[in-house]
Amino acid sequence: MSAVSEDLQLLQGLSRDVTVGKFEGVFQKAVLGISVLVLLGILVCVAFAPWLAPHNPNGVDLLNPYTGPSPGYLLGQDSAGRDILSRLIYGSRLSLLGPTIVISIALVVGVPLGFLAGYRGGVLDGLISRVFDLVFAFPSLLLAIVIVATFGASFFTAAFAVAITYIPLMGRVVRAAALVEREKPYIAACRLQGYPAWRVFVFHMGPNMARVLVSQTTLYFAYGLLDLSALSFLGLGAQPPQIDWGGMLENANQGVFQSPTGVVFPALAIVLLVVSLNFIADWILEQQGQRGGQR
Amino acid sequence: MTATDVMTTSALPQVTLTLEGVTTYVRMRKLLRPVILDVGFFVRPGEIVGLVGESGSGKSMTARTIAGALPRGAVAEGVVGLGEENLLTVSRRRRREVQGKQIGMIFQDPKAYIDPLWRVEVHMTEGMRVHLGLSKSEARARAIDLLSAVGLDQPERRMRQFPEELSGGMLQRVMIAGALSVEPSILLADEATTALDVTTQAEIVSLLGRLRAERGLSVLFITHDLALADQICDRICVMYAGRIVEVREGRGIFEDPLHPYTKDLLAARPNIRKRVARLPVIKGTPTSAMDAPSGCAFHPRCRFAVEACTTTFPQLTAVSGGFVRCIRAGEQLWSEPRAEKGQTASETEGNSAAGG
Repeated sequence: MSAVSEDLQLLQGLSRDVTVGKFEGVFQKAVLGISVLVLLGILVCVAFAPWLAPHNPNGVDLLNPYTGPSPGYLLGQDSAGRDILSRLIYGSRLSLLGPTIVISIALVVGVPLGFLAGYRGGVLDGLISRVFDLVFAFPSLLLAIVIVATFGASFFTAAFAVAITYIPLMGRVVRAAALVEREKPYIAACRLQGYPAWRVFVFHMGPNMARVLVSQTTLYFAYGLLDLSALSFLGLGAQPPQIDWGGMLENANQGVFQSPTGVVFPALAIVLLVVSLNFIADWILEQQGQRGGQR
Repeated sequence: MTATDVMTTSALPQVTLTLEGVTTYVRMRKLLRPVILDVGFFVRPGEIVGLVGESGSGKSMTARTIAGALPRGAVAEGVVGLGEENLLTVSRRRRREVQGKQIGMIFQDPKAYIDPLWRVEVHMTEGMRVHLGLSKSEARARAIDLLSAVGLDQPERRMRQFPEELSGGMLQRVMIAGALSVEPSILLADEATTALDVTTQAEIVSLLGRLRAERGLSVLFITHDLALADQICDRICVMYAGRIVEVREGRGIFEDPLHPYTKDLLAARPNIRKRVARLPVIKGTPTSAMDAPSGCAFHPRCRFAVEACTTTFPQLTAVSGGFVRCIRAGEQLWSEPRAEKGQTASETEGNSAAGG
């Protein structure tokens, strides 16, 4: 092999090294693929639960509480002998709906507030930020518990309560992003060019802040799932016969030494969903990070 | 009648941009302190006017005053005349409209001033769609024409590229093309070539010259590079401590500086033909408008300062070759300015003899 082609190969090798992103290796691609499959699988469960579940999720079999896996009950039975697999499949619905409600409320209320605070500054910023601080002053789960205790335990109250604690979280992040973004020269240039304010927001500030928004949304979705699960675990979230993964954990808690499957599988489902979401968010960010992003 | 009046009245027939007695204050701890003071000049259609000065002399503040991009809390007084209007007194709404349509602006760092998330096409067509109400395809066609007019090859391909895929020089061309897309009456170039290497700088400068010749473009060219300004400008305004100390018509600032500051500044430039052990310096440090002493801002550093310089605020006065803000204007402060060339030659000989 000639020296020149060796050099060339070296150069190519080097340039390949430099451009390797987080999701370009085989392993990383596999991880991303699995994450997408997990999410799709959960979505399929949400959509087709009645067809997928082998048993009635609330079908009681009091003679067989806390039994391990058996041919008829692949993941075992819980405290009342209900099929854990069927409950997992049905539970995916509320477990996904809950964080979706939380995130939607946090986005709809938190983003405009945070944006106004960051972009306009001054008195408005002070006002909004102090309200955020007020909510922040309580531990979020404690605040949620207080709200649920006041309005009565139900799935929607729990989701709403968690959402309230997430509004300032989202607002803070958006405010910081807006503070950074409004000082960007290209935003100044847009204003100099006399573009209407809405146009600058929608086409320039918004897309440039989307990076932060996407990452925070997925992160908070995962946190929301965990917080709601915690509330359900405390018996303050979904109420029987509603099923969600957190509630399943609570139910299986006492029988963990007789048959751990009731704890292991709902926990595994929560972890899988959270981890997959994080990988997917990372990937989305990397796609976007190819442009500008880190400036 | 002040010099500014003389300048504006003489220029009345056709001016693109006029500044008259413009003073801009910034707010510092509840106090308004001036950053530019009594700035006045004009730009006629097809003219390139240079605004030169060192950092902190107020050239960028002047540009920001014209463009309406003042920092929070800053206040500008005086007249920034564009067309029939004084931009400092029109409504905010009208001001935005005027500055978007009439004033194009390019900057030192084009990469930072173009939204990185969009293709060049979006940057190029946005202004035309907003201000001229063109359809997407019309704007696209004009954008491609403009890109080739500013000397970019493969304009169609450039339209599809992202800012990060273009070099600094190419981006500056895109900025210029974008600024010209709405057919502004004046282009403000704020240190537009400073961040580029000299070859690219020369290309951009000649591009501005060509656009001026072809399209009658008026340019306010802001730079700290006197030599560069001298190359392309029809008129040069030298700023010091927030005020214009000298206005030169045409070329010749190098042969015959009018203000002691300019004179000393030019003497401090390295010369490729003249070997010196140490370049002469202007004693003292440059001052900003807010820290400027009373009287002439330059008097503490001036070799020709007299008692009156410390108390009298000098006005821009007409002298042969331009205007100068110096109470000793018209006096022969230094000997035989035009003989300097001969002097330089003999000095060079002396130096090389000493070196050999």
